[in-house]
Amino acid sequence: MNNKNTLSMAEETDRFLKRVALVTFLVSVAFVFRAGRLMVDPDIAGYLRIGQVVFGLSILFILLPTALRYSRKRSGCPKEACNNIDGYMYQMFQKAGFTAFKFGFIFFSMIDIFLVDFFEAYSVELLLRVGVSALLGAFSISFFRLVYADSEDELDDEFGGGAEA
Amino acid sequence: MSAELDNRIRVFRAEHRISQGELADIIGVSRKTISTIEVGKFVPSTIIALKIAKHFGVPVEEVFSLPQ
Repeated sequence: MNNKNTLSMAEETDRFLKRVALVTFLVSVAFVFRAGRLMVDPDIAGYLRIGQVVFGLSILFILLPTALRYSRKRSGCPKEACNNIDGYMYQMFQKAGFTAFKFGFIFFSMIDIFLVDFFEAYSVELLLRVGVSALLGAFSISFFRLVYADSEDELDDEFGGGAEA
Repeated sequence: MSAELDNRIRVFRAEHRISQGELADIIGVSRKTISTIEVGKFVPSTIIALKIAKHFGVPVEEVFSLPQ
């Protein structure tokens, strides 16, 4: 089986997509911090800013190595062998995007109906940051729920070792 | 996935003494893709289904079938 240094392109793509989803969740939380800064006292806003910076750095440390490894591997790979768009993870990524779109539609409709007065009291910036955070959060949570729900049913692997290609 | 598709990948893997990871490498997908197809959690594309059938040397309908 593959180890970390000799991952196939498909495994590398899966790993990259999972990291992107994780980073999307962290960006969503960072947006919550940023939105919170618009609503709280300056003292507390300072703490939220620190949290925002910590999340920003985490995002860099999590995504950058994987993104570099992925793009390096992809650059040396024939196009037809590298397009893993049929794979499970890529399909779940798309499905999560669709779920986030549906959630966003309902979210903004509800705000328009019930909470428009609340957001008018603050600013459009607050509404945008809360909205973007909700969309990104919905995407990442939906992705991980799809990928990890019932994953204990997928155990391998008693037939290995005698492969003929 | 909402659609359901029965498959005999596990049976063919047993016959060929091949692991999910080895089959995944041969087909050009991840092990997760093979395992989720095998348990019926993920309906594969036509391309992946044909590649799996081709590897085992059987028609695709011997590997995949609609539930009765």
